[in-house]
Amino acid sequence: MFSPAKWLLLSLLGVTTLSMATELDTLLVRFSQENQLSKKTIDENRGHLVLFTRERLENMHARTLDDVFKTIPVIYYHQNRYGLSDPLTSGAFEPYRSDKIRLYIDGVEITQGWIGSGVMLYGDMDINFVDHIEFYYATPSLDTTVEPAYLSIFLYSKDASRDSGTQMRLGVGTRGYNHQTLQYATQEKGRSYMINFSHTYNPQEKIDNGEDSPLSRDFERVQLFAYTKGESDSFHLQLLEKNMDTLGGLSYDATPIDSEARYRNLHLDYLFEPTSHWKGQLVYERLESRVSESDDHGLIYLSRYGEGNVSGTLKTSTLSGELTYAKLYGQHHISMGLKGRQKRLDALPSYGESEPSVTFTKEGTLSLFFQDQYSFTSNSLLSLGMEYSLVSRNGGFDNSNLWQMRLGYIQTQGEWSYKSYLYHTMFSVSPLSLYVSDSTEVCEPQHTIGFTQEIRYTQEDYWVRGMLLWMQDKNTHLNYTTNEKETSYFFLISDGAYQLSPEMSLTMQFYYARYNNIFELDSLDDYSGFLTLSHHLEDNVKLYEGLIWHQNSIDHQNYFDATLALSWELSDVCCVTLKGENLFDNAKETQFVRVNPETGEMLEPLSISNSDRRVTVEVEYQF
Amino acid sequence: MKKYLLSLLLGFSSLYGLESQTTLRLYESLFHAFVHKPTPLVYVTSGEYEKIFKQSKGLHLTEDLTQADIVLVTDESMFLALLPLLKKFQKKPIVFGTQRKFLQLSPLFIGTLYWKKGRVQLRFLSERLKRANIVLPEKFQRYILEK
Repeated sequence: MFSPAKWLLLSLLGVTTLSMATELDTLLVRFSQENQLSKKTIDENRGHLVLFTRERLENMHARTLDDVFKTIPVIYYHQNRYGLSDPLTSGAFEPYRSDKIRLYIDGVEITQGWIGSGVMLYGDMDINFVDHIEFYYATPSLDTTVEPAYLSIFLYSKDASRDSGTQMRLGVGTRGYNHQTLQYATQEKGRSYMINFSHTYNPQEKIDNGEDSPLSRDFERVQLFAYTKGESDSFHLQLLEKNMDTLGGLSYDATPIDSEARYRNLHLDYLFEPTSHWKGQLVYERLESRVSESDDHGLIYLSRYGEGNVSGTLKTSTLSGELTYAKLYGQHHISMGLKGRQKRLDALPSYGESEPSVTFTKEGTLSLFFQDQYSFTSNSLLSLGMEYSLVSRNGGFDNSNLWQMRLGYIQTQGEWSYKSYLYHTMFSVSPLSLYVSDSTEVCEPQHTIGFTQEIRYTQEDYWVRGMLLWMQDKNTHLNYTTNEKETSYFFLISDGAYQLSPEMSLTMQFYYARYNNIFELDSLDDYSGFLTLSHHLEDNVKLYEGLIWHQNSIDHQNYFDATLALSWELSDVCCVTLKGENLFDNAKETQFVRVNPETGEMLEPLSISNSDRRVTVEVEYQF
Repeated sequence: MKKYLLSLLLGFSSLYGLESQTTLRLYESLFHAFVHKPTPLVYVTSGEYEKIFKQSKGLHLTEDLTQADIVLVTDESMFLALLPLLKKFQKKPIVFGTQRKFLQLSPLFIGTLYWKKGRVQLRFLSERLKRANIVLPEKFQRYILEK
């Protein structure tokens, strides 16, 4: 068995096997890279961008969003005790913590109503329909109305002009894992059409909780993504159904008798640009969560309602409308907009014998923003943005007035570029957190200030970058379990990429973070890094190696998540891929708190990895 | 990086717009390998390519199909509209495409430059190059398929 150190050494030795490239080969690589970076959506001016181009996603053999998310520093991918994607989870009993991570598909936010973040269901979605992914720290520039965020994730779908025709992908793997995707895209008379269907069945490793029945987080997911796009309008339809075992669920000591859920999500949106300066969108989203939970010692949050079981369907819906205007006035690029959004709780499940009286059923948000991006010299840009939001709630909860302010400066000089941003952000509490809390104090918004800087050096065949981010939260929503109202963070990120030859590329990253007053800790140091290498062994055989390392100051244990993928193009239309994930079975783990429900004593926490060790074989056809 | 600042103020024409500098360099390199003239005449109906080729000193655009040395086909309907005319020509222009399926669509295509999994692919068919009397330089050899 390879150790992580040997793996790293072999990866680096592989770099020495460079092939001879002609001028034409190099030109084709440059053409691919430049044309991927020239896409309208990829805008370095928006903030600190971590970009996954189509080629990078293909090189990584990334099939689901968590394959990519697990390499994103500051906020890595995690699942919570309910088996849901929740990167900010503390492992305690909070219902959902990642409402400050925002997810957008083709520029439209996926909200998932009461939860507040599309990451919950879409955090591990199939990304076969995706062309490229942009991660921005904090809130990116306000060229469209965006919700305040620690991290904003933008996924953009494939374009029918480059991916026309039919694509089919079939995969099988360890423990009976299997997935199937089918995609068709075409262009007719200036309009593009795409439909992408996928099905995934993912039986995962069982987790020993000391009982006869171990914990399970198996799931089956069906996903449909479709669009039609013209010159000045687009329409999207997304359907997602996920049937899953919910790990520890609502059991205090993670020994549930029953713990299952079925989620159904419908998303519809229509975007239109009546003129080159005006843009509008209408979005409807509905989420049905059918839950079935029981435990003989009562359930978390629901003990006040009596019996230790819950069964039924929670229904929430969101309706949003937005209108924005953008125009260039001299050297000022002015944009402004208005957005209205209403989230509704349409139905609640019953709790044992009792029916809770529900008065809080609606939350409305009205937002206005203004932004000026002033290019005062040919290589300097100053950006000023402000947004005001009024959040109103029924059921006797207070309204919130939220302000966002953002000041940015960008300077470029030859191969060097420098960015700096100053943020003041106010976060509203998610409706779900308000709903499960007994306290009215949690209605208070969180204030976050941030100061971030980035310096980057780019050459034709490589780039390197350093980022320093500092943030402070007042009245923080992160610390549910302590009275600590203030947290602060400092992050150092250094990353880069090197195109060693037309057939070989390398990416690397190092990350250090210092957190003060986070969760139950006075301070926490967090370290991580990754190294990936992608190269062609032959014209039609490609190898990918990736190694992610994590360590933190709680136990200073090293975690290594290794991925190896070998793909073989049998012909122009058929490709076979063999992929191994978490090969050392030593990927980063999350600690889940457990409490003895009878005595209130803390039990030994459960330590669970976010990804299992798995080997998959996949066949792909394009015709 | 400078282009990011400019792009912000000027905007892009389309979501998946082509980057003009490397696109021009690549097509100039290809078309000069097909035709041994200082400025080959190119016929194209795509507004996006037209805008890019207008910046070229090594390629000239023509609206007259009979004068064209090279026809760049970017969509199927455009090619099907031109096909009856092309069939009538004694001296046929070189037909090159931007989608993989074009090689199956008509034997007039000598090759294509298309996207696959985020990377551009260049393909020529050996028999069609011979038929069009085109001998490509050595650096093109790995992109020529026998069938």
